[in-house]
Amino acid sequence: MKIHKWILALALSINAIAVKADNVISVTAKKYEFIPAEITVKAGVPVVLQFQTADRKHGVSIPGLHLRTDINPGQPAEIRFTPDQPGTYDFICDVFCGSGHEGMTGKLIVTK
Amino acid sequence: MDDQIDRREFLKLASIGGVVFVSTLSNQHSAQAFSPKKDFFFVQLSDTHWGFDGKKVNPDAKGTLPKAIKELQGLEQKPEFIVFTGDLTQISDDASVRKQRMKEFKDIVSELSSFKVLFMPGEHDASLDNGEMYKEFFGATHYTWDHKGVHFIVIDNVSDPGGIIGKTQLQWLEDDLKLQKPDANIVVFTHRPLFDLYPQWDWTTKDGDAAIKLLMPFKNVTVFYGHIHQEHHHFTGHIAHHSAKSLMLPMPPAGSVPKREPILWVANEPYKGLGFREVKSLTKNRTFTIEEFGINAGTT
Ligand SMILES: [Cu+2]
Ligand SMILES: [Fe+2]
Repeated sequence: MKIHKWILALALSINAIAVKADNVISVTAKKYEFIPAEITVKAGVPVVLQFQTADRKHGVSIPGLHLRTDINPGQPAEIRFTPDQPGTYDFICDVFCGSGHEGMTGKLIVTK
Repeated sequence: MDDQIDRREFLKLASIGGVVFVSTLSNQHSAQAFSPKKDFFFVQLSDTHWGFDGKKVNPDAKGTLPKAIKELQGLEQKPEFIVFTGDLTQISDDASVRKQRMKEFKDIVSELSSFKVLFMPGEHDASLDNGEMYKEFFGATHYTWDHKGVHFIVIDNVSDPGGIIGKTQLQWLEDDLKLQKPDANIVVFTHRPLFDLYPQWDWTTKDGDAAIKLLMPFKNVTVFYGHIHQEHHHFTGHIAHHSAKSLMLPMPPAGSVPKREPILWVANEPYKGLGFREVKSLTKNRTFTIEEFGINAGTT
């Protein structure tokens, strides 16, 4: 029993390390914001942006990087990429979601 | 002749391609001569956002549209039609409020019943229910008609909440265009820009390039749209795209400020950035003259 728990803990920590190595950033979309609304990533380092919605369907688009995905309820969505050029890239919700839709924006900062 | 010169003192004229831009320095309406048999003019109003509430942006939110309507009723020459290029109403998350706004908007524009009036939705009108409520009030969201040698096409790029035209409608457009000759005079009305004006602010149509591709073989195509709440003129190849001002809230040029937010009202320049336009179609030489009008604060 104890051993079993220990193995489970080990498995979880390996998993955590694997996630870290993959550089996964979790972002929640909800009416009418992204949490976090500011994401910092490093140029040249592969990254996974993982989106989930807390309410209805949203979308996320980073026009400056030509990346986008729908974010459907119950289906986490991923954007995998390796940022290249340092800079600040605006991202927006691009699936009309209601009265605050136009203010549902964020910034992706790519550092050197 | 003298009259022409006089007019020039009032009007700033600029010409690009087949379009003459006229921006009036006064609120006088120009009386350019044209042959009424073939030539005509129409009025484009856009982004009236009925129900918008923001005193710092427009303290006369309930009066701006009625003022524009008064101006139109007073025109000496009657436009052959008046077209509203979307965002008739301001969105609300409450469907009953949306319904109320559509009803009020419809009542107000019924003042224009002596004109032919055409509508299309903006995302504020249609994106929360795929255009269902809009259709109950205003009918189809995409359609065509012909008038004095011009083929008019209304494209709906808002009923899909993703801001796209969609495969079904693109097929419809393709089928419609098959019936047109290569030198047909084609005018497209739509809400969002069909090209990538500034996707960072959602000033684009994701599959707009597919529509442009279908229109490209035709020599004479002009697109009039709204959504960006300011005048903007752009060409994709030989196709001209002209956006119109809003009748509720002006927006800054793309990317000119960090956030997409309306321009605030300036007390000593009321209604600045708001207005509507007249478009004269000179069919024979296939040109359009665009004349922009502001809102006359004195109109009651
Ligand atoms: Cu719009
Ligand atoms: Fe609008």
